[in-house]
Amino acid sequence: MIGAEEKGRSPLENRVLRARARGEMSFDAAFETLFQEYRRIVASWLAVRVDAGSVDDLAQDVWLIFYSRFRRWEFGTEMESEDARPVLSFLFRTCQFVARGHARLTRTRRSVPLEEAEGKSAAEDLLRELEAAKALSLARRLCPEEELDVLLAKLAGMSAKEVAKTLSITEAVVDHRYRDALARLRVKLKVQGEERS
Amino acid sequence: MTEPMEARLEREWRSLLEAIAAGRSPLDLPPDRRAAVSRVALLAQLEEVREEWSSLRTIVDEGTAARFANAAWTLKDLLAHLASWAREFTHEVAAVSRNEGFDYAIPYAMSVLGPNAWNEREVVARKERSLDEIFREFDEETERLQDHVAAMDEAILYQPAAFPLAPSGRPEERLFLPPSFLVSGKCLHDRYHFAQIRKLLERFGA
Repeated sequence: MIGAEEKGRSPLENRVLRARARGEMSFDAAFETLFQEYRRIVASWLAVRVDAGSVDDLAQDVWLIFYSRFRRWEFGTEMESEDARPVLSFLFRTCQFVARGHARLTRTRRSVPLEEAEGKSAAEDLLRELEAAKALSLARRLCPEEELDVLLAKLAGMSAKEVAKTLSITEAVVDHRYRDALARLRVKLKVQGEERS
Repeated sequence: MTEPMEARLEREWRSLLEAIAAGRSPLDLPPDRRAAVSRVALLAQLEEVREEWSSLRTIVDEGTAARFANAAWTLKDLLAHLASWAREFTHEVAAVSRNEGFDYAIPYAMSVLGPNAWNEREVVARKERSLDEIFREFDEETERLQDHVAAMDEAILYQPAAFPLAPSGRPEERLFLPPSFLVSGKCLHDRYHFAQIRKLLERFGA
């Protein structure tokens, strides 16, 4: 897993933030290192939330928002903590907001007939069908947004503590939502398995 | 034997990560195109300020709001300041989207930081309002702004227009910029004060 770290070493993000705060790394070098470290995670988070054709553009939006924010980044005390990853948390939240923004825009545009939307639907239906058996695709369709948030954060290697802090909920709620999501998927996949056999 | 659900999800997640293409770094773009002003980016940033605002709502009560944030304003006044700008920015963007101009100016006066006279007048106008009304005003106006951003013509969103703010202090010298940058500026202004409010709340022990 890209987000995972060697035992006993602080996350790469942490080392980059420290080097940047001490002036040992340029803004561009620090940004590019973080981009390379997390670009796959950001795109994967979006891939589970939005239509495949929008992932690239939305990922670009997430990185542009981070780019402007990183210029004024406040290197806080969490940087001194060995396991804190404020950048990953920020990217996670931004993916949520971008996905919501995308959904709002899609809703607004649905009232206006769009040729592009009509042309896409058949191909998208096929894709959806092909993916129907996958647990991640099922999670996207079955889980309420708050469960999906927790599931995606945990898959990217965020600890329950980090997820709780990022979503302003308790660790117990994180655990609860994670277990609910898994249970929901288990039930659905079991039913699908029974239907097939 | 069936694969445990957690292992299955992790396996699928790893496949997804591997399937992700290179992606475009903002550093590959020319510096003048690195602003996060796409329609979705603006909607996302407005979403973020609404979320932070609703999080503040759960912490700030009447007692905390009555405490002084600086020499002149209480925390409630500071929140009213944000609500007043939420209303003003939404009004301005709505007017521009209808191709209407402005018959008033908001000049900066006695300060390089902002239009003190306008700020003061708007805060005073909200003195009698409840904390709930102030919180509601900001959220409703920001949501209306999201609706305008989502529905506005592409050409208007990115075309410079004259807004009422007059940073030089001279009413005839209006701020001239695209509505997209005004929306981005609203979010920056909100986040600046949110950070201030968070620090205050920490100091108050709230």
